[in-house]
Amino acid sequence: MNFVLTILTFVFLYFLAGLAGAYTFRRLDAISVAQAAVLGTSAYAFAILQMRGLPTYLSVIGAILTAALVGGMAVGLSERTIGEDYALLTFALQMIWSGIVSNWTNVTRGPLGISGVGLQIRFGSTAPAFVYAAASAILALGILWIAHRGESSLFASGAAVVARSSELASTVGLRPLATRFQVGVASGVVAGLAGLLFALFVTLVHPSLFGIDVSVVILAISFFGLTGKLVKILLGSALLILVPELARFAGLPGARAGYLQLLMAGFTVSVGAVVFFRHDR
Amino acid sequence: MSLLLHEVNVRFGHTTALDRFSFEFPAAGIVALIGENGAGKSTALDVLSGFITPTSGEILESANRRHIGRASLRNRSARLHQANVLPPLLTPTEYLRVVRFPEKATWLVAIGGQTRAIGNITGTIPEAVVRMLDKASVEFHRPIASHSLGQQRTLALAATLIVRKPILLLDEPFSSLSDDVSRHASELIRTEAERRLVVFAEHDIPHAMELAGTVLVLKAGQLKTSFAAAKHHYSDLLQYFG
Repeated sequence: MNFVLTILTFVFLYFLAGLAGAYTFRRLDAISVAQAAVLGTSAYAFAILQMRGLPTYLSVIGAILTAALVGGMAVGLSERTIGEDYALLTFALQMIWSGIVSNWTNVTRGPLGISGVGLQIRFGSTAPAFVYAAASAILALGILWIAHRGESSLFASGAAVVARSSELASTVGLRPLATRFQVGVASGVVAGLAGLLFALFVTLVHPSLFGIDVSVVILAISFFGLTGKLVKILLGSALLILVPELARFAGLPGARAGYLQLLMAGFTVSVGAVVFFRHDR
Repeated sequence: MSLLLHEVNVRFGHTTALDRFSFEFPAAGIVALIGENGAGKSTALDVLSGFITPTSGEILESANRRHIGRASLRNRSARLHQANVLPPLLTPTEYLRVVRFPEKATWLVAIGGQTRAIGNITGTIPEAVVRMLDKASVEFHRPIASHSLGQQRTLALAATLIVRKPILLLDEPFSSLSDDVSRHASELIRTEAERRLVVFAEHDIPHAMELAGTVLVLKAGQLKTSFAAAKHHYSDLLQYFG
């Protein structure tokens, strides 16, 4: 039972991360390869703040605010990029992030990571998996509902104008940088919530948990929701989490199951890149 | 508020796009920029819209001779570009709502920011603008990308005309428009010019002279002459062309 609940938790958390990634594309045509870094920012911020004795609720607020700020600033930079240049920029940001958390050892404990995250606020030893599965499901479905409603909002239309041309947006009275920052903040909050729950669930933050390979998996999941209904991201999350886990359950060694996930993610991104970014030549 | 361009120069490398351009634009009315390709018409509009910074020279408020910066020019002007720059996946209704309510469309959590962008546009934008779009057979609930070039041009012009800013800058606004739509657009521009400044660049000289109150003739980046359109015939201008 715990295995199923654990898988469900991961499916919903990766769904949230994929939703955060798809949101920046749907609003601004900006593809991020640094979603894991935003998740990691929230997870690390929570772990560090709690380790330094801050009350849990303040650590949660601090973690989400940090992720929101990082998301806002990263997407704000898309004002200076065109099209897929932003993917290259975020790839670089992901590298910088990994470099910082691996080397800033007196704060992040470097490659050792921080263990015991949130242990004192766990809900006892009897049903933690159930609590996390329920919390991640409620959060995922709640945010999906909000995101779905936002699809037909005036802000979404305004963002589409900003995505087309910042100059056009300025001329009609929009503020392109403010729009980009807000999209980044919204995406950062969602990714931050996923990162926070992830850290609480696995009780560990470590650079390898939020590396470029994880960003590629999240990118692949978000590709399921670049167009059409957002709920398709849940399908992507289920596929990319369930299949490797079921393979592992069926006896495939853990490392190879991880490679299977990367293989599927790479395949999804390749197909998505050809289908979605097909430009007239 | 009228604008004074004083000795404005714009250079791109070794090319001079505007050469000591000086002119006082009125607060309201229609000013036409005419000239051959490369004469500096679009560059003049770029300067007025704050899109580019002049290499030298000044842009001032006529009344108090106060300097006007790029940000201020951007806030005061709406620009229609030569090429149609429109959000392809939005419908005309969604786009026109953004143009009409940019404040609400800017803030994610502003009151009304979650206003639905879909629905009936009638009542939101002036009836005359809706009629112009109808004449061009623009379909309000179909993505912009699926419209013809002329329909997209009509929509881009309509959107610029409903922007609530004191200066409208139109670069070849009538290109790709049918005669009927073009006539309707001219009427709309006349109406708008009663309360704000409209500056437009145009190759069709008779049309420019018919519509504008003042005509500026540019050649090789220089303002060759300016005159009240009503007092001249377009044949008077042949000396400046070819």
